[in-house]
Amino acid sequence: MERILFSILLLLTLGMHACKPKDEYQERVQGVVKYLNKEHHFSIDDCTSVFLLEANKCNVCNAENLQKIAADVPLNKTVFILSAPDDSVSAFIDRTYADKKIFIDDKGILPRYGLSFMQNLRADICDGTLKSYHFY
Amino acid sequence: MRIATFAFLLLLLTGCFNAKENEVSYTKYQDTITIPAPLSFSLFQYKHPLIYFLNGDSNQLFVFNLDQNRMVGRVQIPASPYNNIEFGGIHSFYVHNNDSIFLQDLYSFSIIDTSGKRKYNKIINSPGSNHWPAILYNNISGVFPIYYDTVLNKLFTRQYSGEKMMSEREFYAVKVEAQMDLRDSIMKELPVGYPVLYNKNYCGEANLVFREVADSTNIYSFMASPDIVIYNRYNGDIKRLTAKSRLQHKDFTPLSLHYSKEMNRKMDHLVENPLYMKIIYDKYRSCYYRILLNAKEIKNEDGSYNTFSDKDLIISVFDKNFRLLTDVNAGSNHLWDYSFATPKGLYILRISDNTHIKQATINGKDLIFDIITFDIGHARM
Repeated sequence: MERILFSILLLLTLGMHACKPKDEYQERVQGVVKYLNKEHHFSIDDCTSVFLLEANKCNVCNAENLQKIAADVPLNKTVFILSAPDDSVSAFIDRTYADKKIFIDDKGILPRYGLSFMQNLRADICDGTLKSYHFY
Repeated sequence: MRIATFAFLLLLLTGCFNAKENEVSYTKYQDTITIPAPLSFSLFQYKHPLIYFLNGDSNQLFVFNLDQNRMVGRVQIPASPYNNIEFGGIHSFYVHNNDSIFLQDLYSFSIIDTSGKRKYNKIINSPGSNHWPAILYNNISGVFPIYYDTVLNKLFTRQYSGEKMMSEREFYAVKVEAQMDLRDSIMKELPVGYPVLYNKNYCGEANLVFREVADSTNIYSFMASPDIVIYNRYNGDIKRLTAKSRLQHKDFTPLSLHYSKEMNRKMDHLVENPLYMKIIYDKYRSCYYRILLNAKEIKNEDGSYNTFSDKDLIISVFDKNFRLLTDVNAGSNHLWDYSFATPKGLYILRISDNTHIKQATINGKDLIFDIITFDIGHARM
């Protein structure tokens, strides 16, 4: 009886694992580490919140969306990547975050790393490994 | 028996030679239109030899002569009486002649002349109401401009549901175009609906409808489908047929409705699937061009990624009966929307350093076009 119960439990566990929705963007978001390293010679050596702001996409970086980002507490360090130069977005970051780094994707390389999104992204990375992410 | 075999082989060979004869050759060269800076435009109309560019900032139509390569005039568009309600600006225009320039804003149709004098106005889409009407008349996404037929004295416009969202199946139950008889200003829908694909599936953002106007017909192209609809404006006949590119290497895959609010997934879906865009009628060669943005894998074998702008643009050439003549892969350096047929050939705008796309507007000093001239004369007609 115990063996049957164990088998059912095992099947249910495996079944649930199989039905778990595929995390479609994890691999792409992990590309943030490679992008910063290769394109900006920057390594993430501590727990860092990387914010990718889609400054060149219509209405993605509006005040409402930026306020949502500001409402979330980042990890130990904060890094911003802007998909294009934007004075108003840079000014918002300067006003809101005292200690941060800002990188601008001047050459438009982000899409080649799979990092072109229709929403802004927060990726929490510790020692080069993606821990979690979400879109705003 | 030997004679029969010989005859069969001869037939086969003749067939091969005929197929060769049916191939359409083409030439490609460039033309540059120098635009006095700063001019930005979103909508345009080509009417040989003139191109009309709509500048939304100044609410002006700039008139450019393609043969003389110079600006030859401008028309100041009067402010809409409804601009102060919301969403001002012209959504669509059609230049019939100097006396009749048809305009569509969110709340009205108007006719003006080149002096900007308004000669006709009809209210549409219930301005001031808290709810959209059941049917909206508007140039949705800027790809379905109004058209005026002189013989019928009717204005043709895109229509769609004002009550249903694009993610709801009922949205696709509404016919795609309406006509308004200028004698009584009554709107009447045309019997042209979406292909079944849209009624049974969710196609994500692949939901644009394009309409081209030929001598007596309106031709409709739907983004997700190789099928087209041909509607005869004079006798009401409708034909549905397939106008598929030979270079389409993958069928369209509908998207799960689960993703209807996920913009990233919807964008990826547009990259991964073949998308049929507009059809262009070439009255100088009695043929049609259909533009396909071919399916592209999101990730390449070398680990790099693709985006929407990496999709290959295919130009399929069809004869007057919509038999496929040839397909050309034009690569990924063109803006399909800015294309039109001229006596010289098919003009299609190249992406260049001067072409900066921002919010569906092109700002540039020089517009560089590729002109592709197909030698239709040798093809079967």
